Amino acid sequence: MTDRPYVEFRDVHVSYPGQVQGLDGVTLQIGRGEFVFIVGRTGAGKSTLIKVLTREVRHTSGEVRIDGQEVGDYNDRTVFRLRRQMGIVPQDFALLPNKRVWENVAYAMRAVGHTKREVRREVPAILEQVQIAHRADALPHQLSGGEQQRVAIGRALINKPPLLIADEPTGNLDPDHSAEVMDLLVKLNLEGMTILIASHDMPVVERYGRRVIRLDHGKIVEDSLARPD
Amino acid sequence: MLDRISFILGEAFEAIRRNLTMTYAAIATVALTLFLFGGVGYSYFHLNKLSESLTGKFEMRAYMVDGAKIPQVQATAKAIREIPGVAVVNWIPKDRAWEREKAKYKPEVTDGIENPLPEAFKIILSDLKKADSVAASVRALPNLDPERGVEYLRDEQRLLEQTRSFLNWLATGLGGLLLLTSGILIYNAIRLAVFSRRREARVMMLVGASRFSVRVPYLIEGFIYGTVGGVLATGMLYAAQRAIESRLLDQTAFAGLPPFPILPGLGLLSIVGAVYGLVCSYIAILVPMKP
Repeated sequence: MTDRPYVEFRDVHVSYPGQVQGLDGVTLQIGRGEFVFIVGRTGAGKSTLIKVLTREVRHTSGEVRIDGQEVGDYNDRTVFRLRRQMGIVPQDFALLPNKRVWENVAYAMRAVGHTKREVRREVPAILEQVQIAHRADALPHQLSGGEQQRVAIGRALINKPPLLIADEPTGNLDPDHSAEVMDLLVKLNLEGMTILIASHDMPVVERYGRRVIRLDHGKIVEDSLARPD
Repeated sequence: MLDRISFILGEAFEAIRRNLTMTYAAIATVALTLFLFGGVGYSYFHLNKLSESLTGKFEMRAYMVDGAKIPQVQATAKAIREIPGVAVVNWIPKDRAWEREKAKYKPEVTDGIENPLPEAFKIILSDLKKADSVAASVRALPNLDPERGVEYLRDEQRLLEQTRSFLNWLATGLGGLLLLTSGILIYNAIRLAVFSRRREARVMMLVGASRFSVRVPYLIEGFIYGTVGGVLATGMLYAAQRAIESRLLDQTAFAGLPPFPILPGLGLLSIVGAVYGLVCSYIAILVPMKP
């Protein structure tokens, strides 16, 4: 164990064409095992911050490190190594509509090089972990929004990543399903996973009382610590 | 390893299955292009061989002025032999030629006629393409008959040359156009495959699949288009050669073309098609794919 932050931003700037600032001097540190909400209005820089971490967007200046490794060091050929260290849950779930629940997870496992035998062994366990095993044979359109989100989270777990990044995981869900998904993320966090969530769902953010980093115009305007349990 | 190969091949065939119309169009155009190139190349090769074999038959005759003396004949023969493109020069003495002519007719026809033939040369060319320049060089020699001068089968030789240049034009013009069209079709087919499988590609990139795993199925797709196109082109060439041989060539003097080299043809056209398909699909996936 080291005291080194697990995720670290140092004076990070992201400029888009047309003088648009995605991030404007962001500095933050997230420790291993933390549960952090990134909040802010639309256009505040939440998605940019997440995309810099997943290296979908390159930061213009500054340093972004995950477990001590500079994210900018990864190029298009090696970025897959970075992405295997994290689970990414996109806002739209990105499920394959013509594949069943188990196939969605299995396909992702096959894509990263797992054998058929490993897939047969591990997919049921992953589906159990995200509490969707009972719908294993359903197609995505037959699932509720919360169930779809759990499949997307399950798929993000295939590499057993230490970090899970979710973009608006409750954005399209009703309160009950939001709670289901958030409870699942809390459970994963309790198992040791670092969780980073971009959200504008303030009731959910306030209910869970975790660390909140607020962005506005690409700058951090608030960084409040988690509420003691 | 086998597991990995089966996944990547599965992805490639899935991409093909989703784009059947473009698949057929791309394969058909590659086949047509290679058929044209292969057919023109094959014909060109045989036309060259044909022209080489006909070179001896395309002899030239050069006639000297009346009353040319033996030293003049010898000097002219020597000069002709030195012209590039000339293989053999035979002197045909006028007396011997006249004896041969007289033998063709009844004695009463030629009796009393003074030998009208001049001293002549039979010239055999080493290179049919140089016939015109050889003729011009011979004509320029002194002591040659200004009226008869040089006679040769200029039209036949030109026909052969024109056919060869037409085939050249066909290969470079129409073939080039088809090559471009098939390249665009393969490119489009791969781009459509990338588009139709964008969700899968996105998932692959989200979960950390390597660039190799994401892109190789599309390269395999282009490889398959090119290879199948090459195989079809070989079949089409074989069928065309058989059809031409049976319907046309057996009625001509050039009947009996050598059999189409089916195995070398298959190998060559498949390799050319496969490489072309790979190159076109590689260009198609150069456009960045982002999750």
